[in-house]
Amino acid sequence: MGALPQHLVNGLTVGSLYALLAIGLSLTYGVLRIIHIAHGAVYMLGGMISYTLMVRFRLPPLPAIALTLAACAGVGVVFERWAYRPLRTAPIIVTLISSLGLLLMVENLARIAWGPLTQPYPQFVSLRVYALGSVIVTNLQLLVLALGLALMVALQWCLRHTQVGLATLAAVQNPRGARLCGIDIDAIALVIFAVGSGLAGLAGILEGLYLTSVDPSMGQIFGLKAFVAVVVGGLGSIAGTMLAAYLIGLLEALTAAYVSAGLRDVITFALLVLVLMVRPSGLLGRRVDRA
Amino acid sequence: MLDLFFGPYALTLLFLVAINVTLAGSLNLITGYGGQVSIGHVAFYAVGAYTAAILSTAWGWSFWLTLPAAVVVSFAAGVLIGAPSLRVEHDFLAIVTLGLGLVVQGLALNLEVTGGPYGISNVRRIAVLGRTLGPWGHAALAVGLAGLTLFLVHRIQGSRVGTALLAIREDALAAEVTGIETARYKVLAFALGGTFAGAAGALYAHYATFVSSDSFDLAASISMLAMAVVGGLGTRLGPLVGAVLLTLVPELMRFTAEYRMVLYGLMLVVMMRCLPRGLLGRSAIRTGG
Amino acid sequence: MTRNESRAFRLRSTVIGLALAVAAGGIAAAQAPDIKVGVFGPLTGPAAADGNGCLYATQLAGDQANAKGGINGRKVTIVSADDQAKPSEGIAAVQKLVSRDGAIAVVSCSYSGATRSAAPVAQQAKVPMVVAYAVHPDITRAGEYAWRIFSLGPVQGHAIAVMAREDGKAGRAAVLWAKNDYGESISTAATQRFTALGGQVVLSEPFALGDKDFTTLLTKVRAATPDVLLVVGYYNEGALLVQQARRLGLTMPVYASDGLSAPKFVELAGTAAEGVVVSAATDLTSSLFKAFAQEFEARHKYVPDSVPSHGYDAMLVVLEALRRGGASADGVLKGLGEMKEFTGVNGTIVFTPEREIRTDQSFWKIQGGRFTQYKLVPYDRVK
Repeated sequence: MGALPQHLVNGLTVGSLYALLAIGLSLTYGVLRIIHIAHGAVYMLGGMISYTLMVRFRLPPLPAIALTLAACAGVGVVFERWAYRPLRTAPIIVTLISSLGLLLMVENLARIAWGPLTQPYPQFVSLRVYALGSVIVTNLQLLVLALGLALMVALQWCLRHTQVGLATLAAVQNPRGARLCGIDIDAIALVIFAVGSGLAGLAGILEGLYLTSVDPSMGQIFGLKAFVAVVVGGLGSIAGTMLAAYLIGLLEALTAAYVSAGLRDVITFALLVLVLMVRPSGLLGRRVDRA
Repeated sequence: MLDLFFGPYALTLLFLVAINVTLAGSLNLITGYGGQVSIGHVAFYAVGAYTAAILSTAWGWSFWLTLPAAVVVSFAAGVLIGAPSLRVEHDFLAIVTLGLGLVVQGLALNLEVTGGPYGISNVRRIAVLGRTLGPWGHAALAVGLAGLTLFLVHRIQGSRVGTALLAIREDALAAEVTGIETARYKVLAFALGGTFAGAAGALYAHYATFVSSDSFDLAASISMLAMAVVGGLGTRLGPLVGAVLLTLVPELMRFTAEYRMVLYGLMLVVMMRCLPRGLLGRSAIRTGG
Repeated sequence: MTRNESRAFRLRSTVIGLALAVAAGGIAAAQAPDIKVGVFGPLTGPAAADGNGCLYATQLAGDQANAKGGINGRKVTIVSADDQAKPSEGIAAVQKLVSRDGAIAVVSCSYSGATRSAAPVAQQAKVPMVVAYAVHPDITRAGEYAWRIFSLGPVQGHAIAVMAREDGKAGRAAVLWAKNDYGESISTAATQRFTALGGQVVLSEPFALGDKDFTTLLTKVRAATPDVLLVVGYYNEGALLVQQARRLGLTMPVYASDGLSAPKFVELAGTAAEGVVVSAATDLTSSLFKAFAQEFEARHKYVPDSVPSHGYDAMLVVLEALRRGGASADGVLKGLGEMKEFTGVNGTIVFTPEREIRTDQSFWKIQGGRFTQYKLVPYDRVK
């Protein structure tokens, strides 16, 4: 029992990073039905660009973060205009291959631009360690957790109370119906790519801060796990996506803790397969008609 | 100059191309004709390769015995991995197969029988009438397997099974109503497709004499899918064209050094933008979504 | 033909035409009269840092030999091939080097999977291959053409255990290791030797390459209350692991494998790296190493770690074999056979009949943010 609370804290923190990344994927997937695995590349760019702005150009953290988020949002918009919009009616496999192409391009360009080595990330929030009984929590963990939760609540509010948000929700639930009601899917696509990519960039920054380093390969597996969270959470359910992201984080921590860190990914993915077998439309998903 | 086309390097490339044609061609049966999106095709390749490697090193079996064994085992794996397609569809199936592919790779890395992180070394070379095959022999075998795969997939597509798969791909509900046992045919598509990929795995294991889990990662699955899609899903020769192009172009772009993978990625995006149905694709394909 | 179809047709022709043009370009490039030495390794992809660093070092060694007049008056040219650290790419890369590019010797700048797959190719082509740093035990068993200038995993594992037990005076050890052949071979040997020396291994856990969050594993370490932490892995994971250990309040001494013996480890781990003892094949104080490191840094603007230094030595071994045996593949093999002992930038190695090496195991300690020569475990104690 002793170490369990500690494992839970560790798992939730990583789950928070998955969740931030998964929000963007959940929206793009919900509205456009694309497996946007290049989302991981945007996350990587968030880490690398902010690193460059702070270390090479010596910008203070806040402007550096603002510029990075803008840059990531811009990259997301370019992705959508250049690689996805021409494929709007194509089957999901075609956009998947296109997305893979984007991922390979951006990642390998990043390796050329920054070199393939891992870089130490500037620690602009000085570390504090709190001991609550036997549980050790750092202020960075609390920051990641709090920011994750706050952004999720804010996003849910925006979805329910703004024009764009409601249109997005409508498009997630029924893309064809939304179009019939005069909702401009292309405009929504740009907004969700910008917002989702900005959040991915933020997740990249937070990872740099929490795990103290960034590198051009950091996006691959993270992007994949975030996407799994989207599907397991349930199509069109942003709350389900969040829940799944935290569950994956917890599951990973608990398998590493009580089974074996070597088997962590095997067990995580095997359980995900099982979840989908039992609930074929995801944890909080409803059966949605094919568009 | 002749050496360029018949030298050992050209024959090595021919071997690798033919293996990829087999993999893309067998995936075409599952995803192209069957309409079941699979991002875990590497699992069958791995199952075939490890079956051959284990039987060859533990019991000294030759390729001519491990090949049928690999075929049987990967057929069974196809039934197992195809079973989820009865419960989940489309994008969910894509993620389930992706997960299963990662599980198979993870097991290969962690199990004792697969050699754990060391993999399996010293798989016996292929011999015909007591003589070990050279580069020509290996290339000929691989090309033969690729040809057989394309031919049999074509025959399957033209048969009752193919018609049933087509019906399921276009409208599973309507197919069910007209009396097609969709469950049986879906699983059959996975099992048959898996069988060819397993045979390719066995051939690769004996050719390389070494298998390890890093050959069977997600990137390999996605690249098989890319070959099938770039060539044209649901076309007879699409997998051939796609596999040849996507194996040879990176190989011939070696001179671009570090830009090699950037250009490869760019090529994928541009190809999908310009030719979403693939190089040979004519009729619209529907694979869910 | 509709407008769309004809557009698709044009595009299709353009794509195929472009592919052919690229093919022709690739074929046209090649051929030159010098002595060709092939180098393969991961030049793209996640492992590109190691592949390129090692390649640069072999090029440096080649250029230095050429500046001194080459090998018996002939210049040496390096031809390289990327394998992305993938086994099947390793086969194609080495086949290209030996049969298309005319390499008469090959240096492996790659990891185990690709090198193990490539070894039979070199063997069949009868071209000697010198392995810089891949540790898979079966590589040299491919045959008499496969040579290695890097200690096998168990040697290092034994040395780390001896240091932990004697230098660290530890009774209880926790071992965290990277889940690949490198991690498994070193950690298994370290565990055996530590136990044989009367210690107790209280926890042994693998982690995946690319892992960044070790807090869960370290929470387990904390519960197991070891006196010493043994880390078997590479600098990326190693740096984060040590840093997170210190954050969680784990203050025990750390002994690590040579994958952490890179300047990048100190850069990433920061102050947490202080006091860590790492295994390293290289004698930092030797003038040979200093000269190499200086030249390498002048060219490539970064301090070389043990991957480039082993690439450099592998190339020096090939050059020496060329000098002794003559400019042919058979000559290189003959030269390698004659070379019982070799002194390179990593120290002196002695080749065994199995084409492996015997060498003492150095240990470095990180003090004041720099690696300093610390202790030596002689080969007799760790074989």
